[in-house]
Amino acid sequence: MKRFKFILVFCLLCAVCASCATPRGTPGAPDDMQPSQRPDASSDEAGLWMYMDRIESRLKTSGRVVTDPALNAYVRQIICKLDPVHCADIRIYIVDTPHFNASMAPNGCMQVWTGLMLRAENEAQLAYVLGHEMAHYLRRHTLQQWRTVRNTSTALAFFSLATAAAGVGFAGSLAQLAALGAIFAYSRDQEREADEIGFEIMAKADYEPVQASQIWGDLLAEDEAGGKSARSIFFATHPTTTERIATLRNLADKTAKERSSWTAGREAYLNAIQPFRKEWLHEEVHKGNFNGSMVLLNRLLKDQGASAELHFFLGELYRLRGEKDDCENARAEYEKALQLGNPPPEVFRSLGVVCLRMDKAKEACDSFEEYLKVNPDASDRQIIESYINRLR
Amino acid sequence: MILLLIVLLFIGGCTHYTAVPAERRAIGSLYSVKSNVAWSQADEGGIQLWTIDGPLLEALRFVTLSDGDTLFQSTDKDEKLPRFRAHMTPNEVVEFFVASLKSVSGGVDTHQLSKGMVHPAQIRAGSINAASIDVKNLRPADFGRLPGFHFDFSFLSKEGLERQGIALGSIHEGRLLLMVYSGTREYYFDKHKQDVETIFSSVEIVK
Amino acid sequence: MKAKIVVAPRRATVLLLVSALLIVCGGCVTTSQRGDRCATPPASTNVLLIEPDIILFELTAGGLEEPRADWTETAKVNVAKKLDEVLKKTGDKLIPHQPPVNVPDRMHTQEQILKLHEVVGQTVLIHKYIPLYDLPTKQGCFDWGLGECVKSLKEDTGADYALFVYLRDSYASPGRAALIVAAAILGVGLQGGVQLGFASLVDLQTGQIVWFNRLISPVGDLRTPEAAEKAIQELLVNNPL
Repeated sequence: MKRFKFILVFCLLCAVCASCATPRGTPGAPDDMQPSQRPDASSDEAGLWMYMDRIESRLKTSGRVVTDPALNAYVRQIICKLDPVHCADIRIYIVDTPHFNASMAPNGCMQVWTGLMLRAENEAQLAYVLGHEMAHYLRRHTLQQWRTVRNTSTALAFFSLATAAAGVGFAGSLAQLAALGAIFAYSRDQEREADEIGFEIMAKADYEPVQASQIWGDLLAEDEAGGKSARSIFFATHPTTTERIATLRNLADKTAKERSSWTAGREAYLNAIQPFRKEWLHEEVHKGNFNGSMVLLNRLLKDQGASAELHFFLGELYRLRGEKDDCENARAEYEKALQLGNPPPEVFRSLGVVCLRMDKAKEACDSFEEYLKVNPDASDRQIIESYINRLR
Repeated sequence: MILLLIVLLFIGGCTHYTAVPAERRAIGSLYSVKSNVAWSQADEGGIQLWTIDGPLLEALRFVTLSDGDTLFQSTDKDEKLPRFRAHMTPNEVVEFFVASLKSVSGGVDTHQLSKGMVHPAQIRAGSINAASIDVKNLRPADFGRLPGFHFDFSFLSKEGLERQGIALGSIHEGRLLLMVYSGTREYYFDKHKQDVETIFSSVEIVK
Repeated sequence: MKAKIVVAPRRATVLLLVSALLIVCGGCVTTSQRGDRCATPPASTNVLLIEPDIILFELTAGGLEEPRADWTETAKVNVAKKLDEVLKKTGDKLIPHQPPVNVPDRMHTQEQILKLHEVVGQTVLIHKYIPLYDLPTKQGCFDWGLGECVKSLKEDTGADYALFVYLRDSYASPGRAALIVAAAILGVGLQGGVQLGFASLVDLQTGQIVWFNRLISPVGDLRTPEAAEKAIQELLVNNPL
């Protein structure tokens, strides 16, 4: 009788703690997703898929998806390099939003947010994040999460989070989403499993293992600089600590020994994102998270060297922050951009605005005139002309 | 039962929207406008909102901001929202406006709504929650006797529904006076655009 | 098995009370509206059925709604079938909408029409069915529409009207049903499943909504064709076809 009670309690505990330690191979662990597999129609998994299918069809027509064929093909070939067996089941959506996130829904819908693509320094870093998400998919972690929460009062919020995290209905209030995300965070065991499988996948595809801890270390630094109100939804759903990053580093060191040369894919990556970077940087600086964005821009400058584009956007951050001395700081960055040559043409308009604020009327006027010269089709031509007329 | 009665009384005496007849009307203490048609009006956390068909379809908002104010109020105290600064130029006001539109999240959930559950903040968010905001034609324009600016804009709502808008504003004595009209690109924006342009040109500044 | 009673609100906010109020006083509330100055449809007309937006949930013992893919599929089939039968009886023809493929312009226009309809539907639900949000500009009148963009649907399909259906329905799981019975014995009211939704009929010539119906009902079961018939009749009450 005692033994029976023990088994019963054990089973109950397992049922309650469905997202706890059920890694691959242990009794009661879910099977890996098989290619072309679909859940039985009466199962809870099928209900979850149906909801995810709806979210996906809304995402498709939300106008927030980057449809550029070259960029999509580039991301797709990374996925298929990582997992040629499952890549046919995966549909990729590059979502235009200046926040770092990637996710994979149980039905095979993968999202990569452009904020992530701006932050990755090479193909290996992007590949690691995608591989990590694919591990969550392969091991059905979302289904496990759903089974854990559905008997609690937070279950109803599960789908609103899924909707929000899908980039549909998501436009801000990250703090709210991050708070919600924390409720549905993957467990430590799930993260560990995703790390291990992510590493397997990455190593098989020749990607340099140390890039994994690198990208998350960089993100953590930026997140800490941004403060409480800029908490990242990615970190809310993927609990990441310095301890875990250290573990990732050790894992990388072990894996790195298996081969003599690895691919980081830096040039290929920077070339692929080059046509989009200006737009992504524009969205980034207008987020209003000045401290976080400054950490990011300074890191990109350090990694990629001086560029007119990066100095221009650093100037924009100062101009938008508008604290004491920021006008001077902004102007210094705009001047650097001009010296480096080929800056974005908006630099003249921004220079004019900060000079105006510093009561340097002549310089402001000259800058605005230069802006119109360089930008004859400016959609704000009339207002800039009115500034010039008032200054003369 | 008593609770239900209280609720009934509460509902009976309290409506969110009041009538705005077609006449000259003061907007705060700074200016007045005249409309040729009647509107429904609501107060949305410091912003006066006018609509005819419902704010999810079209809305005219009257905003007056001082240095440091945000465009919309957030329920989230921690949220970093863009703030108006008195030193802004018109093109910086446009940047502030665009960033503010993007910061609004949430909206109406039809499932919850079919149970009768909706909150004014959700209605407001449902009409904005913007992505792909495009501003065109920023040009000088009169705000009554004050120098001001006018711009056109378009954006996608959270569900990918296309929306369009026009705005007239002026920065006067450190304050931003702004009138913003937006509606669904199909049908509702055009439906009342002319009425709004008439309102825009009817501004009279209080001496 | 369905029972209709109010769940004690966890938070004493007016809005939750309002919804409780609606369900209690509602019981079998279906309030339909007719569009102002809208012509009555002729005796036999072509009606485009936009793919119904339906989800069926299982109401668990814990009181939570879990989506059921199999029930939803079945319900979609039953609803389309019953709508077809009902319309045939009044001499009308139901045409299921097939969204265009490989024609980006038309696809885009029709997507915008569907999105606009959802928002108009939300607007009607808020401003015509919740007294707190009554609009003075809509007092005593019902003149919402989608505008001329609907002509794209008329041209594509030859239909004169479009019928939109939105339904959410939940059914008590066996565990829930048992709990309801047990609770009833103890004198406690527990909510069984409830059917929620709305339907609207749009004139594809003028874009006007000629008829709108909001449904809150504990009656009907969309999982079987016979029981679905009752639900459809409730949904289509007072329609002008």
